[in-house]
Amino acid sequence: MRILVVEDEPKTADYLRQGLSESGYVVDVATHGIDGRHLAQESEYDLVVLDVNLPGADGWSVLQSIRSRGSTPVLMLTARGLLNDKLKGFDLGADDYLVKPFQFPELLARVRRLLHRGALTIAPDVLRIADLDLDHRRHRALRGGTRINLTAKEFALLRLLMRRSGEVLTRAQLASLVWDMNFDSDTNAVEVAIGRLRAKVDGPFERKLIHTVRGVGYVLEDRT
Amino acid sequence: MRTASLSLRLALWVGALGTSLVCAVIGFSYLALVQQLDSQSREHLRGKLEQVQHVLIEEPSVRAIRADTHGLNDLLIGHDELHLAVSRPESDVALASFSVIARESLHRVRRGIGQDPYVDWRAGDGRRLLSLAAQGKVRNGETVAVVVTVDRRADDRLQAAFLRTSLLALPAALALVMAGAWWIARRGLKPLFRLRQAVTAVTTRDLSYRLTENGLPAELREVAASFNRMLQRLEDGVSRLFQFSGDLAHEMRTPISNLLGKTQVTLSKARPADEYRSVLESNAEELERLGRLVNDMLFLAQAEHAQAALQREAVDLKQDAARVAEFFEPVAEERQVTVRVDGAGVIQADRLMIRRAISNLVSNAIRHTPRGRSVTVRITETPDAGATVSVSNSGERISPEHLPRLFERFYRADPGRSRTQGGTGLGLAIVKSIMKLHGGNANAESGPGGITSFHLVFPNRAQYDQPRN
Repeated sequence: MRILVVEDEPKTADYLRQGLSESGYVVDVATHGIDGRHLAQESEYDLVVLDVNLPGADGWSVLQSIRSRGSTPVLMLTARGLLNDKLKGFDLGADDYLVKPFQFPELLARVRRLLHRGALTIAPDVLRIADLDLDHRRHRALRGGTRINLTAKEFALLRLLMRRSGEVLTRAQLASLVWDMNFDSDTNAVEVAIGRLRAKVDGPFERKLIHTVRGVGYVLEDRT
Repeated sequence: MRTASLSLRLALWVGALGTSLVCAVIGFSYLALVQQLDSQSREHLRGKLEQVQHVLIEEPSVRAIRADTHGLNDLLIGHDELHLAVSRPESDVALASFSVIARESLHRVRRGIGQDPYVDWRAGDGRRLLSLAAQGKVRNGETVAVVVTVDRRADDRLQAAFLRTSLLALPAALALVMAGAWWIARRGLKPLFRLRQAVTAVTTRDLSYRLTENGLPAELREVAASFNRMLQRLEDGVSRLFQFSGDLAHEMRTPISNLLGKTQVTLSKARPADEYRSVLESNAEELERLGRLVNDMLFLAQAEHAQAALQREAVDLKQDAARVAEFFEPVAEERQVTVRVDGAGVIQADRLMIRRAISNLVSNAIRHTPRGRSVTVRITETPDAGATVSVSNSGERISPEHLPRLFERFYRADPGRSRTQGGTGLGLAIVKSIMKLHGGNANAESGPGGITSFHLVFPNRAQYDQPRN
């Protein structure tokens, strides 16, 4: 899938290109508003990541010209988290909005959500990764056939990690998706919760499934 | 007029008032003069008539009057303005008359006479005349008609002269009044100009300046006092702001210099990949904290201005407190601390913000509770006072001088405790600003038993919308 990144800050543009490319997307970068508008008009993209402050033509006008042509999803980036800006973005037809500083996994998650918005992904009731089974309907988790006793939140956390297996989830994402805590928090609550879950899921087993990506977050995957 | 200066406006108003006063005085004087001259003329005529009647009573008969007019003529000597005519009653033919006017007066008076014995008329040449008619008796009892007339030419001249002088003087008087009014206005407003100069002297660089209230008129003293109070608030605000940006720079300097230093040391020689990874990991953690600091700052900055950003909905405090408690449960359990939620209450509030406030308090409380003790979130709601959420924990007592300052940005009750625990130092400041946005308040108390409580006090339902105005 092709993504256009319109961002004038060279370092930001560089890591967005690298990060998105390594996540399997084809990325074009424009560092100028007018170039961005031109590229968006010339070629077909599945998604545009658009900075608000751009030389030449600002993000709003680029967004307008994209909207005048079609419904390509647009993710706005801005250094200003003002509510007015946010509303303006949504009014002009932006699909999502991220305020700098943001964490890359957060951006990646949103990019994925926007790209797969069309295909409603219904999570299957039964998930299986390596010898770990999770049955949502029966509210049961098995590791190598042995039942693991989990609290409701631990179950929800495990289910999320399994559904997004292979994807690194930040503490903020986990706090938001599992506990509905949609704000930055300086607590280590998520770390502790992961630690407890890990003790139950991986503790007695040779094959570890829950991994810490230091400085980023956590991922559940079979690395053997 | 709307944009005219205050002194000009005052001068115009005072000038207009002065002008109307001058005009009124002139008008009244003129009327008084006319009336005075009128009554003088009447007096004059009445006196003269009495003299004439005295002379007539000495005359033996009517016939004799005609024969000898000397006695009557003597009365007119030295009075050019007076005219006298005597006739038989009901006759226009004069027995004795001393001028054309006198003869004409006989028939004018007969036509014009009514209740008033005085008759105003005009001669053919336009002169204004006033006549007084009466009966006279001669010695043999016969009656005659007597008409005394006074020429009002001199009075008319006097009146005209008065009017002319007044009108000539009027523009000068007006100019004088206006100039005077302008001067008075300027002089009266002088304290205001002084005030303005003083106000101009105030800059952000020097907010310590205060207006002296002594010597100002009573009206301006209050203005100066209010202004001084405003300066005080501004000074406090600006010094807080300076303090804050200083603190912020300090808070950011340490992690930034750590990041830079560590990165530079790492780059200064070739290392195995694992070492690079470990540096990057540690940098990422530090940067995450910096990012959180910036986001918290942004939240506070927006909270100070954006009242409208609140998305109010019915928030079940018990349910939200339970959610927060659930989130912190693993952490609390690890520290062998229990978190309890008591009571219930429903408020109209921004759910995300309320959760954030409770979460900050609970997180703090757990951090400061010794092992084996508990943290209590107590919700109370009374119809009059509104809802309150109190987060209490037992632990070390916070001394009273720290309590009110706990909600300040970057304030640390224990300066020895560093930021290594990952906090941004803005948690309680955020709690306070969330409560302010909701029209409520946040405060703290710490008892001798080591029970420390933080209270979130929400206004009652009736007051919800007031602070937003």
